[in-house]
Amino acid sequence: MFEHTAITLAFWGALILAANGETATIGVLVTLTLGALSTVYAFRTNAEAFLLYAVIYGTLAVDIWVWRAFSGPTLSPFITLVTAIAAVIGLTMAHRRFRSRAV
Amino acid sequence: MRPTVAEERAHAIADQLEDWDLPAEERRAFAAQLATRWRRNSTFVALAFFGLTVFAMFALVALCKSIGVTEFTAAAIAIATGEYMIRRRRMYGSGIESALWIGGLLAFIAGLPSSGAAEALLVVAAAFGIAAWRMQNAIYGMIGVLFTTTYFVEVWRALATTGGVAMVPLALAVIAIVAKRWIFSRPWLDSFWSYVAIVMPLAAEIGGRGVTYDSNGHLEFAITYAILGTIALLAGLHLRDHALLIAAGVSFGITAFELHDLVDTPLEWKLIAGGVILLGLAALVARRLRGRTAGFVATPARLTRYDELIKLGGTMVAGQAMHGKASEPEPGVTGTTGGGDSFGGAGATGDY
Repeated sequence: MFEHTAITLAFWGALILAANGETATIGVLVTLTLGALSTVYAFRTNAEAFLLYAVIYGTLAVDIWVWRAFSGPTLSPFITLVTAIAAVIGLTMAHRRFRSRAV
Repeated sequence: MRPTVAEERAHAIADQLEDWDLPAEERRAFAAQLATRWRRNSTFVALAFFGLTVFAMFALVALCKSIGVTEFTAAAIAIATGEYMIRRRRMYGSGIESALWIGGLLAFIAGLPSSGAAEALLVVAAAFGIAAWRMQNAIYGMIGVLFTTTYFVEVWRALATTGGVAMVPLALAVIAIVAKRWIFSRPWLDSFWSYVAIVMPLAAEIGGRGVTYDSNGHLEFAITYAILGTIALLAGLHLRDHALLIAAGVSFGITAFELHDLVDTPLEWKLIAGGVILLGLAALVARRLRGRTAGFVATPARLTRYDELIKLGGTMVAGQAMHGKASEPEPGVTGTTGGGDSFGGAGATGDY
């Protein structure tokens, strides 16, 4: 429970940075770094929840940055759609890998 | 194309496996025996997929609008993709296909011209109803029922009476209690009626209060909720159904709220009296259930290390005996061989 609370707080802090105009880029980078660490931790400890955190918060951070960086009415939704689909596909593949490890 | 009754029952048992205190090897053996042709995820993983897919749906709708092809195109893409995942990829309960279905239907509604009429609530309710039927999702069904009751609250707002507004949700609660006895062929329907029985008394109270802006208690409403609670309690005891007992608790709680200002005593005394009554009830129930090992029990004691195994074995044997092979798996796919008609014990109902 401690690890879940700690990583969630860390991700929320990074997301707040990403949503702030002046610290958006650093916020995205911090979120992605946390996501990478969380993914490594997920596979080392066989705790899939940390992988879910990494994918969901990482996708959110990237999309927040995209909506800030690109103001066009078409490009932002398009990139958001692509990142969301990529997240679903990536998560599906990782989930299968977790299940195969569990068997 | 959706899970058969036997497959759905196998899913319901498989969902309980995590809660059972079994060695890993036995758990895997049970999971393999209960496996069906459908790809499903645990609740937590399914929620993650659901959230990401809803996110993608928002982006898809925004993209379709921005390139001038309207929300209807987004709806068609989403529903077609959802059906493809169900029919070709055998995904049912993964979180993705249910998000695509409800997202598609809501995108379709978003594309309709808005008139601001209350009937729009019924359209949304219908969307949730269709998604509930297609995805066998009790929560969608309950949300649909909530939109229906909200419609009646809006339409009968002019009456400005709690009784008028609360009539529909209270009737639905009674229907749900009766339906728990007679319409139980599928686990998702049983869950749906459970949700309705629990939520509708609250919807009735909140809707009635919202319309009348009245915070005073009324004896006639207290009596109504007490009767409803008694019906739910008796039905719950008769059917050994936990959900109906929760529904009874909700109704009795509302009864207490309705009575709160009918007795002219300080609040502290009312709270003390309420606490004493609850303690007394708890002691009475504990005394009545002491030593019981069947039906409703107070202590989650185990008779043997293999209690769950015995239950599961009984389910399998009963299923085979009553229906033979309940569902034939597809060639080359590990399928459900059997499925039970009844399972449970120690207070859990397995009759659907």
